[in-house]
Amino acid sequence: MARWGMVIDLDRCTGCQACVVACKAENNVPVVSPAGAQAGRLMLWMTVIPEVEGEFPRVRARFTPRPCMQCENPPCVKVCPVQAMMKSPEGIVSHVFARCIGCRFCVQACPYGVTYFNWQAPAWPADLREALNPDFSIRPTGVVEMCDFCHHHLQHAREMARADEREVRGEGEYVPACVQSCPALALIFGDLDDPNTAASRLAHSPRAYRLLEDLGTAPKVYYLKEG
Amino acid sequence: MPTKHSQGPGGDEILFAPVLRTGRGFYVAAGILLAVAVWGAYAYTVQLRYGLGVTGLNRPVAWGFYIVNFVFFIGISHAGTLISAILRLCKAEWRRPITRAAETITVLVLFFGLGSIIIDLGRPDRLFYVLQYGRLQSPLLWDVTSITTYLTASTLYLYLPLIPDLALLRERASGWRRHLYTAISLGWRGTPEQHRRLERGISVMAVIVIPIAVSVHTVVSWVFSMTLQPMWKSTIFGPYFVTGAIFSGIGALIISMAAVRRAYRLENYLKPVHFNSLALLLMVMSLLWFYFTFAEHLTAYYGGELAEGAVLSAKVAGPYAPEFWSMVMLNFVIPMAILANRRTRTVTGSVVASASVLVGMWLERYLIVIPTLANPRLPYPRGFYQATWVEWSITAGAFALFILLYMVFTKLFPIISIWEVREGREIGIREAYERMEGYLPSDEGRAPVVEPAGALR
Amino acid sequence: MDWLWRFIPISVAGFALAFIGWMGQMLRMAWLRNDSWGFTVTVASVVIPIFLVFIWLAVYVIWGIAREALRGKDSTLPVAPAVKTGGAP
Repeated sequence: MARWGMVIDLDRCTGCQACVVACKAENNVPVVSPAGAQAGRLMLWMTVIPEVEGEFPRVRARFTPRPCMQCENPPCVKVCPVQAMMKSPEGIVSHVFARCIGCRFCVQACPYGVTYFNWQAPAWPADLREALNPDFSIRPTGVVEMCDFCHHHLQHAREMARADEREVRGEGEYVPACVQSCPALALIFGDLDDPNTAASRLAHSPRAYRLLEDLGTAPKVYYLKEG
Repeated sequence: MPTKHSQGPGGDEILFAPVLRTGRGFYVAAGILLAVAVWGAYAYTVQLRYGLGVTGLNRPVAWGFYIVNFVFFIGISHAGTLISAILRLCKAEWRRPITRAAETITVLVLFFGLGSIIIDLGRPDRLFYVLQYGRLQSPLLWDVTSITTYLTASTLYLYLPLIPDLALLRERASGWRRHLYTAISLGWRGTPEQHRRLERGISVMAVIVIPIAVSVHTVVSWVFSMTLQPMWKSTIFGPYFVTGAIFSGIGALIISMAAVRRAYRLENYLKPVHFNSLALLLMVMSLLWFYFTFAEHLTAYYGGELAEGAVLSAKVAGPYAPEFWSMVMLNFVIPMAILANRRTRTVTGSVVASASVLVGMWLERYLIVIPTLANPRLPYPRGFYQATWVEWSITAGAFALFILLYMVFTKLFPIISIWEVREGREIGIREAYERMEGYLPSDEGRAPVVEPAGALR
Repeated sequence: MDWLWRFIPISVAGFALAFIGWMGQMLRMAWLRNDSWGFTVTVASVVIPIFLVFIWLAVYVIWGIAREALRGKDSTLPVAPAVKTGGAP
């Protein structure tokens, strides 16, 4: 059984945020007004966290793309009262919008803050409404949503593979939207249990670390620190 | 008018008076409270229409006033248990005029705790998913289980001692009230068999309701401490919250007792000694609360762990410092100053201290929820929280409705347990005397101790 | 109004039984979904005995009191004093 994970090479990330935009487009993530963003209501399943140190000209900047960590020991799944958060046997942590009661316990339990809540019924401006992805649902008001490694891509890949009577390959067939769109190839995605994939090799690299590792959540998103 | 020294069945009529007659003052107060409650309900309809976006909640502070109110209301519910159950088990005679007021607070306030959680949900229409698809790994399900159990137990514990009083009421009432009291008094006739069963039931409930009550606020605290958030992930939360609950519960009880005493002229039944005993308990709980709070914050400060340190400095010296130090003043400094001195430990003094404690404890719940959420472990998002008119209105409406329902209760049922007071006069004095005799050494050569007269002085 | 004297204990016992039934449903769901079985068993084993005590209360105490009243309803005894007075003080 595959165990899907992501490796993010921080040496290659330029902070262009193509992954952020691609994720929003792919998953119909609601758009928020500037006032709403000021009020802390921005919804970015994939976001880039900038950290800038020092004064010009001796500036150091690091850009950390932050999808859902897809933990092996996810606190969000543990605290959900209605089993709207679940972890699949292949390790994908996803959310069932039809079951969510909007208690936001998962929002508070996640130490990485990757869960987002629909504070109002999502609305898009006219031109963006035409660009909505028909392969993914639109959420109603009052439910939680978060990155699920574009699980619908896995379902599509599985159907294609089933037609050929084989399993989904460890890399290349199932690719989330952010990984697809990165121009610097900073996001690498694949089966962490398959020794042949780049993702599993890089996850064992001496440069590899995970966010907040000492908390015991065992995230499946690895970062390669700048060399 | 009963005189200061009246006793017996003829002298307790003042306890029935609020049920049988209602003055203008009641209607005025009820009208104001109803208006506030209706305004709060209107605010909720706005929230239902436009979503939770009308509140000040955001990312990362996704829990705000409603959760604070939830914890606060559930905390107040510990008033009933402490007074009724523990004092009954300790055979403390001074509990007699207080038990019903305490038990009423508990039963009513639990509904408001549940209501606060429901108001906080993004999809209240899917509320029953919790029952259909619940997972008992989630602390919210522990809450549902525990609060339902406590609500059932406290309702029974309120109802059972009410039965003999309902029998007394049905003699005096007329019209639909007479039918009501006859119906729910279970045809109480005071036979020895009925008494035996009733007392057996009350004793069993008194024992069983204490661990249930402890579990209630413990699991409420575990909603926070089972997460990994800085300064929430603390093993002390269980005892800390239970202590805080009993603390705020006693405060609420003192205020409600003083209000009832003034409104219905019950000075003969709710005497300064009762307030003194409760005030001493309030003082002890204030010390205990201070001990836990100090331990919590010293631990966070000493270790200096980054994420916890950020939350701690936000509370003590940062944007939440005004609330934090007000909380210390209101929960510890002011109550201790008033209650430690016998001369200021009067009825008025204990009411002032209790009001201070209630505000301080609400602030304490606020400071547990908001600063942790506003300072998450990762550098972004950084947090802030400003409650909107919707949250203020719903909070005010909830408090107003609670007070209103309490007032309505005092109009339907006597707020002082009449039969328990009479039992105190006729049996309690003798039993307490016999108990005290048992504590003292038996001595044949001594002169016999003078027996007290059986009647109340 | 004495139908209420039967209705009250029945509804208390009924509510307790409904809650125990709900615990049974939680146990069944936890088993079938293979999800939080340990927690469910622990909570159920604590809570179900408590609600059995409530059923006992409804039957022995509440129904017991009501039955006494129903039995003596047709007699001409006046209402006994509210407090059991056992002998002279």
